[in-house]
Amino acid sequence: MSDSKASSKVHLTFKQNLDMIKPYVKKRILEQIKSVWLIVLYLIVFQTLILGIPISEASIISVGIILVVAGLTFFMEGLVLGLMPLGEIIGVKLPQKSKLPVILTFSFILGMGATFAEPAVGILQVAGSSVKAWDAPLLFLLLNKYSNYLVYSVGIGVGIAVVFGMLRFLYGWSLKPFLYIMIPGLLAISALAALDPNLIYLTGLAWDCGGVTTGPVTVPLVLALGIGISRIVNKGGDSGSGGFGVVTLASAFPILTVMILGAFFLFSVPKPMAEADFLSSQNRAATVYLFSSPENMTGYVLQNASKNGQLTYFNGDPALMLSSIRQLAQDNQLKKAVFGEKAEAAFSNWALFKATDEQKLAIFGNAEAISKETDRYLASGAKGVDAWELTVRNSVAAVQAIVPLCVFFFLVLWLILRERIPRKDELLLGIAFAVIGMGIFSVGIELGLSKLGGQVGEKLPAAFKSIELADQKTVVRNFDPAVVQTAISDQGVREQFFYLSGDNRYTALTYNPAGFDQASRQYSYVPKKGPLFGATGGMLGILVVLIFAFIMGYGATLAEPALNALGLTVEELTVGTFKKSLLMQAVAIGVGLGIGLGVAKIIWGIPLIWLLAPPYVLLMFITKTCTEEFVNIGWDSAGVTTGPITVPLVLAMGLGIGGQVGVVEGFGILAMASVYPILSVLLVSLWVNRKQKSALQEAAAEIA
Amino acid sequence: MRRELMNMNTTIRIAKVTCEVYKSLAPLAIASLRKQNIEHVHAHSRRAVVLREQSTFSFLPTITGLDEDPAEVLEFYLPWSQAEQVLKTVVREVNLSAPGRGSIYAEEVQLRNPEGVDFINSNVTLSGDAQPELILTELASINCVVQRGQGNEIARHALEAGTNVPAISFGLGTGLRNKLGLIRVTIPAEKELVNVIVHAQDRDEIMNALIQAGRLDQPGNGFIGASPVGFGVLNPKTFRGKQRYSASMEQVITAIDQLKTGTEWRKKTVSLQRSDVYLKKSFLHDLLNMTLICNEGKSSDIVNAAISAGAGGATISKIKYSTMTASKHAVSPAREAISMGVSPKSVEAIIHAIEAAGAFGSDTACIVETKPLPLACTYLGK
Repeated sequence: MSDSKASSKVHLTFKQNLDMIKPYVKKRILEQIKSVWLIVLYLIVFQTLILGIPISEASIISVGIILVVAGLTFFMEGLVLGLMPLGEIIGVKLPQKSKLPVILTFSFILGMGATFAEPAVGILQVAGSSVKAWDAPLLFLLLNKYSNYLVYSVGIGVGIAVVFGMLRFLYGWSLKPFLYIMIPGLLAISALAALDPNLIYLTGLAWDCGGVTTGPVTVPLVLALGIGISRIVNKGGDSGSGGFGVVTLASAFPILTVMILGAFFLFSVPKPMAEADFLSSQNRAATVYLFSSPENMTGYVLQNASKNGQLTYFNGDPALMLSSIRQLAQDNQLKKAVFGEKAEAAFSNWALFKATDEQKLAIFGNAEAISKETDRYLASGAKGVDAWELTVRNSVAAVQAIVPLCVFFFLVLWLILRERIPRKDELLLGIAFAVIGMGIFSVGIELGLSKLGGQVGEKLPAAFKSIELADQKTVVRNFDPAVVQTAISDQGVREQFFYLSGDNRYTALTYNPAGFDQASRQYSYVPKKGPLFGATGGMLGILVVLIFAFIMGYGATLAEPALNALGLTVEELTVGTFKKSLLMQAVAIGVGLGIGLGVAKIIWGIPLIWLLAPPYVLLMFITKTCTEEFVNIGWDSAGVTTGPITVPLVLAMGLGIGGQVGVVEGFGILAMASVYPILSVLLVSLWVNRKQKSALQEAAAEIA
Repeated sequence: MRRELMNMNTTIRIAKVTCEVYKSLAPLAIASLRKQNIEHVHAHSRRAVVLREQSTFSFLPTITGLDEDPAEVLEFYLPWSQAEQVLKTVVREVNLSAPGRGSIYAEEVQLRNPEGVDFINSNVTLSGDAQPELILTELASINCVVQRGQGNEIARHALEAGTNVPAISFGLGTGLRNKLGLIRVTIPAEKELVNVIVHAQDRDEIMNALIQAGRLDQPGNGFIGASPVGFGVLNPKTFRGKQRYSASMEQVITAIDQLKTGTEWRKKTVSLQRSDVYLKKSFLHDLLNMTLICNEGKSSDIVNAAISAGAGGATISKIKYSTMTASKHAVSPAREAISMGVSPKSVEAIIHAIEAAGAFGSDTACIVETKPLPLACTYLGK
């Protein structure tokens, strides 16, 4: 029997096909527009109307947003047609045809594979990009030199989680004991870790890893697999709408494995110390361990250390420093060792914009050469977006994230289960849709959403303090300090300013001597903005930021594909009694709250554990009173919130604010965005349960 | 010939008992079945829909909305002669005679078991003390298949026509869809199956009301059919909200039922309207409802075979098979139920076709259940 007999097949004309495709496509695109419009409109309105700053690169961003909508449309359809049915088929077939060790091995490989396929470590590296090696050596080591160990340990964590998840389904174990043991355990470990200056920075990373690893491919696959396995387990009468809970475990186990990894390297790394101590030659033996090579360390120091720090690094000898740099400029081999892959670009960027005047002179010889090089570099950099590179990179990532896992599933079906796959054409179409969709929306996010989010995030602190608008930086060539004039205020305070001509008018600009570069004879200035609401650091401004963070978290969450998939599944399994929209609203409000508090953490520098422990402790009590079904759904919502839409936006904002108020790392917001949705979903479920119970009691009262 | 094909394993009358209770009462119902040694049960989830009077502010007029609650459906086959006693025991143990907890009813069906497994629960432990529970007789089960999202509208009309609590489950439609190439993904397959049990006398009127509500005689809107139900206890608690009298309507109904020792008095007295006469003509008569229950993943093969042998289309829903006792069965718990309205003439051909497709082998373990479908309606083309 084939799926579609040639004899009974109905053939449609091209026009008929088109007539069928039109409403289908329209409905799905509208769905995605509905999920994305809020966050996009909000970001635009906020930046243009409230902050009063124009959006730069508006056309590229709007192309990006169109791509996000198109990509999400494909991806969601791909999930529904391809990935989720595939996961469910395996879930139903595997326990029937194979023994426990095979199931568990499969689960472990799936968990590991999913982590490697969706390497969230890139996101974590961005989050930790502002971490200086001397402030948090262990964190720096794991994010850079040993970032692959970090991925392995997260992969192992997710693998173990999927194994336990499947065991739960097979033996009907409750999720609650896992939570009662794991969450207090992890909190205790984190509290202990806070005693060690190195580990304290790692806690934020560890808690974020958990949430970040469960991406838009892993979640639907694991959910579908769990649903399939639950369907095959005889629970003695109940129709059992199980299948949830794996995502929760997949968020919790990596916290543990990352902390263990940290403990393993703890004694190999130096303690956090001042920059000068870290770079001094006495500590070199210990500090060079954090880098892949001494040259790599040189590169890091040149690009990240302060002027004095660099001097310390070269044994306090300016001549040695300059000669080393001169040698570096000429030796391409060395350049590669110091600056890594794209050595030439990184070197130019450093030499022209970060190097001190002496270093510049050492590299380029004289002032004219510097300004010529600057012109050349700026001209070459003004090309804009490299569309081809962007497309290729994201397509490759999409294929990597989806195809190997699907091939693995198909192989298991064919080789181990020896099962003919029903509706194969539909599954393959779905997988193709998912790959296409993921490729398109990753490009779109990079071009549109994360740019827009980054711009707003960077400028958000303008609400409560004065910030520099770096993207509106202007450079005046051949500046002559002679044009600078002096003005006086009614209090007698003197201020220097000069007139800038252009656009047929003269603008008076404050003169800041630090903006003038003697060597290149350039004056660069950066316009300032803020504080827009009240005084610097005033409550009103901070309140605006917190409200912004809340709405952004809320809007971004509604657009998350993994949450949409979870919502669909929940609605399907509860036959519509727990609506997708109710779940999504509850989760979105939770994420909004979490992100708001995460931002508060950054602004006021509140330790993460203070903000994580109370909600988790509260959750322990609520979990006890909730039904098993809702506990599973509620805790799973935590893992799905941190996906491809929320993460870049949140990180951009977190780093933007963090950069403006000067904190070490931007970790922890994502962990906050994970815990509060659990709280909101469980509270909603308590309310739903109460309503159902009171209806039954109403009926019971009538009997009596 | 048909009888022979159908009741291959047995010649006794078979009852299919359906017990539908609110989710939190499911353990109670399962315990009751287990006590009576009911071994083979198929279960699935539904949502029960009732009217809810919503009063947001006291000065605003009240609106009637719908309350949807999860319900668990347990279905099992047993000899007809034992059905009444088993049903009464469940009614007593789950207290279903109290309104607002659930319903249970029995239909007479014909059954063909797959090879090697007998899904008929013939070793029932009857409890000795059969109490005189009030059981309704001469009922009809109305089943309506509509597009996903339309179910509540049908349920509301049923409720407003004064039925007992309707319930909705999810399914996937197939038929023409299967004959298309990949373009089939553009046709939404998700359906909602609305089920409501009514008194046989009210059947035609309520069907008319639902056909009008869902415009089911128009193309692409769905299917409705009614089959007879022998007896049962239903859930009349269709309304939640403020109670304006010292007793609720459900209490009054139950009390009168007991006084009159029956439900004859409940017959609706609405006369047929003109539009109903028109609708009467479009009814299909004397079809059979055929339900095939097979292992998950096998339904597309079986549906294809059935369609090639003359079935029009089918609705597939996921259900779960459980053995209540510890005894191990080769049958997978993950099952699919395929429901079709077919002409009696094609039954034989369909059974042969699905048999050729391997339906009765241990890999598929397909049950064939048929019951009369005296009245049905759908769009039949120009």
